[in-house]
Amino acid sequence: MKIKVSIFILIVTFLTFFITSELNNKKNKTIITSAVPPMVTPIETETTSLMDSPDGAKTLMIEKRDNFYTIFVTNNSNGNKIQVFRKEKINSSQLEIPYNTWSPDNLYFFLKEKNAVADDYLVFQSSGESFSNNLSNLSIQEPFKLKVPNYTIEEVTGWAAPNLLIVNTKQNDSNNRVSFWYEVPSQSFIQLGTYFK
Amino acid sequence: MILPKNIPCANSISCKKEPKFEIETNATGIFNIQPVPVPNIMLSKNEDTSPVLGLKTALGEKRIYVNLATQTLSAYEGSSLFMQTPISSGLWGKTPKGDFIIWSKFRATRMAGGSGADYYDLPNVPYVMFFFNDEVPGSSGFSLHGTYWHNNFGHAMSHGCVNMKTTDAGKIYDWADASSDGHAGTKITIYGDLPI
Repeated sequence: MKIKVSIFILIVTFLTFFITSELNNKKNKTIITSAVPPMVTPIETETTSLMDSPDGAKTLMIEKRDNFYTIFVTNNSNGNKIQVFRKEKINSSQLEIPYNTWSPDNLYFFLKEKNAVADDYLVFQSSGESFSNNLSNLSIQEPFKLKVPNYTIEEVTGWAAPNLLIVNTKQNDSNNRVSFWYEVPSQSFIQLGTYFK
Repeated sequence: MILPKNIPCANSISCKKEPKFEIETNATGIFNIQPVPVPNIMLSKNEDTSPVLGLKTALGEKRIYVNLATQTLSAYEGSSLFMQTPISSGLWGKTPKGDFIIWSKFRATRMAGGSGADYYDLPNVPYVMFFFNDEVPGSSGFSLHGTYWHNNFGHAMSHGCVNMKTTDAGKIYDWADASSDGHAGTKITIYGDLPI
């Protein structure tokens, strides 16, 4: 008799566990297949890029927060940090600090703006001041296209002198590669006989 | 100074004289037909300006490798990497390839050479480490050194020397050993070819 009761209790316990488990599964399935999509809270993202000047006197920093780039220059001798520029991020464009960003005298720096069509290069004064034509920065791509239409910019590599950026280009209808100088004060391009590999 | 026929002097004007420690105040240099402001060299009280013998570390022998193909310098103590950084090697003059030894170190010196549009005159070149081997004498002026007149590292840009960022050159200068009586300086291997 005791054995029969024990078997009965076991069967009842098993059935109770099985039914409860099935009900829970159904509840879970109902949540997963809900027609209402789960809410996603946007996470504020921030990235920072840094580059010291070759003499270690200054540091350039780009802070990317949400949809804005903010550019700072720090004077490393006294820790003074100034905001040089703030720019909204447009579509898939990306602002990068090239390794050779600083002019040798630390008066200028240039940034690379990666775009889907063609990369641009932007020159700034490290003081945060505008150029003589009231521009906060000088774009290289557009004036180059206008002034030297037979060549396409492949890369701006760095500074040949305090005022001279090296612009490496390729001739549009051949594989000829030619370097230009971009002279910042005059905002002009000078074709060179030497190619800066 | 007499150099082997196939080894031109790195700095055709300045290496007619024996290299020496030399600084100027408020000077102006010339490079790429442009005037270049020359940073003043401020020597700290305990900064030695003469060639000195450094010490090997417990990590092992110090070696410097310069890869002309990638325009990078790598410095090791034994198998431990001390520094890896972009450099600029010879564009207007060739950087010699082979195994070398640091001959002498100078906190700063003057380098001049070239002619016409290629003329340059650069006082206060910082953290200069002249190197040599059996074919390239130290007096031929080839060296690793800091650079204040251009910032185009990772690309050939020199008359044969190995140009580095001044902050990088300072670290290598303090770390590497010059030759002295009975002791060879830090070994340098220069290899690879510039991309065509």
